[in-house]
Amino acid sequence: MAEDDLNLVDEIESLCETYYRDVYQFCLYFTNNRSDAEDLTQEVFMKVLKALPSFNKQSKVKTWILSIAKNTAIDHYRRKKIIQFIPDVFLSKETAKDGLPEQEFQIKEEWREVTEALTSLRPAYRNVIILKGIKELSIKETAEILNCKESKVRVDYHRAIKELHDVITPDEGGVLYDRKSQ
Amino acid sequence: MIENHNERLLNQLRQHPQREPRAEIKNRLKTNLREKAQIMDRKQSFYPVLKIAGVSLASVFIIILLVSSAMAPIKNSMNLLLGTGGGVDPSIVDEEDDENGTIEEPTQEINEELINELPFMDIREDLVKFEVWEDAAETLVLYLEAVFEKDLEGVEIYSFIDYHSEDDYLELIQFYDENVRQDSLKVLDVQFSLGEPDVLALISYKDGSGEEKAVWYVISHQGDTGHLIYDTIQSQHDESAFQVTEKIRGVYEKFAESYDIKALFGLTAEEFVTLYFFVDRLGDYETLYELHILDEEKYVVVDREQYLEEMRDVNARSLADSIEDELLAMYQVYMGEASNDGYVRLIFKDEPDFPLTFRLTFEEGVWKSHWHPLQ
Repeated sequence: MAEDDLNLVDEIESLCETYYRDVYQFCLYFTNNRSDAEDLTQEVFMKVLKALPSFNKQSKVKTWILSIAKNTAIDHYRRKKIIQFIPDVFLSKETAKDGLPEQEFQIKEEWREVTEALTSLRPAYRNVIILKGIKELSIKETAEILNCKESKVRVDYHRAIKELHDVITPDEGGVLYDRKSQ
Repeated sequence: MIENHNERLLNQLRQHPQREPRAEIKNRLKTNLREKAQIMDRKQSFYPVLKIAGVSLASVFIIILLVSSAMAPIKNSMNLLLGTGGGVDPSIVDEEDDENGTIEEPTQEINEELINELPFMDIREDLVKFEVWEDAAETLVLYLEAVFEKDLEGVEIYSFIDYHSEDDYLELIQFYDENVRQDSLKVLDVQFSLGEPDVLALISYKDGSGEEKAVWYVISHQGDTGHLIYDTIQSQHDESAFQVTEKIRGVYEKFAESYDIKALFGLTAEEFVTLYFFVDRLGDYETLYELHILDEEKYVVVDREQYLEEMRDVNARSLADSIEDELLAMYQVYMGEASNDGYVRLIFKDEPDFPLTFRLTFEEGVWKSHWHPLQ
């Protein structure tokens, strides 16, 4: 947390500088859409600014901000209900195939499948994979952000990873396994 | 083997090509945040002065209105200049102009049309953005148009409430005429009713004195016959969004005596949040501490002494100090997560687009606050 004698302007600037990347990446993985992620990140920091005067410095700032990001993302999900998988130009199959070497194209294809699979998971599983798996936060930190017990994070994480595998390789011989085991 | 697969999956996810944020977007946000923080800081410093000034300005405005009611032509000009009241009141247009064949200025006509149409266009578009079905959005717009155009039949057609007499509809129309500025309507939020096809739209408006308020409209699905509007404006208009009721005061008095959670039985999530800010504003931090989750087996509980010390810090700013004046709406929302958690949304007048969410949990039959509830 910023020093006590910092004013609100300095505090929020410092928080934005320090945690912008974390929040943006959380939102990016949650939505799989850069523009949505940037909008959500803005919304998160506006909420942080508003709540900053009431923030009791008991909790870890990163945990607090990421829990705001999590709730903002879930709220966004609830509103949108169906996340749109609009492949942008960079990820479009056709464009990629035309413009990229075969190997690079294949990597991008695999990556696209995995991120789409992640976005198809229920929000609770998506959160645990993003926080613990991708952002590599500790079980304790993840539990604090998700507001649950550490044992639940462990269980959810394993279930989420399994579900992710199931989505990608529904018949146990799916694209990812086949390619990787070659 | 499984571990390798997992790691491979995660590594692939980490290689998101848009993983790094764009510097220009970040810088733009920082600029916005700086500006808003400066405004908040200034507000904090000058809050008491602003409050007095606000009351004085409101008084002056009321006096002007009273004086101008006796001077209809001036009132017309004021309306046009300030864009208030939806243009010229037809009852005070000089009829001689029409009889003498005076040509009206076309620009004024266009402006009036714009003033009359734009708010409802915005409302329709905003509702659709919130994923309200177009026919449901259209029904609310048609209802509002009927109300503001004083179209009694239209109001009857689209209103869910079946009033017993025509006078009740007229009363509703008159209420809007006196209390709601047509050009101030703005959609704040939409909630989809659980298990029912009804949609709840939260819309803000300004009353005659410029005071901002919010009202829920229920767009009720009627099967093949379309939608009807349940309008709650008359019952909600006078109520402040932050209401410390007798019930809440009673609960506080009981709870503060013994910290027995039984005193909290029967409080809704919104009432609990009101109690929380009420206690905070009183400065009764011992009781405030007890309103948080204290189950150490499930949660990380903050040390009591440390909490009290932080809260008693004279420099600490608190939302509770200004919430009564700033709060526009407060209501429980459902996040769809399977847990005991509840979420109460707080919308503020100065930034309705950025509501805060208060997180609380329901255990042993009562609501308790999380340790960092505001998000």
